Amino acid sequence: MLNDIIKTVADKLADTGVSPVYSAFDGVPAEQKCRGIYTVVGVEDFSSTAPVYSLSAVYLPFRTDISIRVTAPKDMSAEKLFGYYSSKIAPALDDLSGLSCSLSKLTLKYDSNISRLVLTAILSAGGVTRIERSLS
Amino acid sequence: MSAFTVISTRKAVPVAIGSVTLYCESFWAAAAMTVTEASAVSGGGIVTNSAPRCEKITLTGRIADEEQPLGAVMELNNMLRAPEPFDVEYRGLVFPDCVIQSFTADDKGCDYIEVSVTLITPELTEQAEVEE
Repeated sequence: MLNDIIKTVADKLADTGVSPVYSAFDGVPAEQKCRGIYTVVGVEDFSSTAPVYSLSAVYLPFRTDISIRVTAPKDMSAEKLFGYYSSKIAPALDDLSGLSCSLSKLTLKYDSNISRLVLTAILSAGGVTRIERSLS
Repeated sequence: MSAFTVISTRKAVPVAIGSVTLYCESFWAAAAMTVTEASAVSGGGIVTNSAPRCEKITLTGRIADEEQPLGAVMELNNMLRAPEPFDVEYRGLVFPDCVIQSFTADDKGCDYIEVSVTLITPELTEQAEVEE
């Protein structure tokens, strides 16, 4: 379920030229990731409501906060990082945005652990998990 | 058993209400039947008459108009006062011969106004024709 959500966002980012894109759950340490600019997609918060039933499927509505963390190389300025966000990330988020999906937060922080600037976008999203019912 | 998860990317749907186009973010519909009952000699109740009331639909959305920020208010108010029935199409359904029963427009200081329009129609709801 969470991997599907991450894959959807990662694929959308790839469509607008964002590369490389990692999943927050891939277990790859930061030092082994790309030395240049890279993006990590994760799920910050997840909640689902009561299922909706049909004869052939069960639909599980959910709400989630998806984090998109863009980590800059050591020598990249905040201005260039924002430029990268505007040209590559923002179009993908605009495409995903709709009645139940919107950008809820954008922060820029210096991560002292890896000595790099990290721009984080939180996408508040809703959706549904469709579970096929077995006929027995 | 298979399962797949999708993020909803549904966008607001443009709905033409006369000359106003409202990008509809919320839709609400209701219909009712009035029933006249009488007491039977046996002590039970019998329905002596029944009739469907107009279907009521409420469309809610936001309108951003740089040239005439409150232009929609004027248009909707004029349509309400001189009711000329019009068809409304929303997500594959056509509501024929609608008239505006009420509307609200809320300017909260943003660059858009929040508009809610309630329409009534006495006609049957139809399926929209699919364009090929």
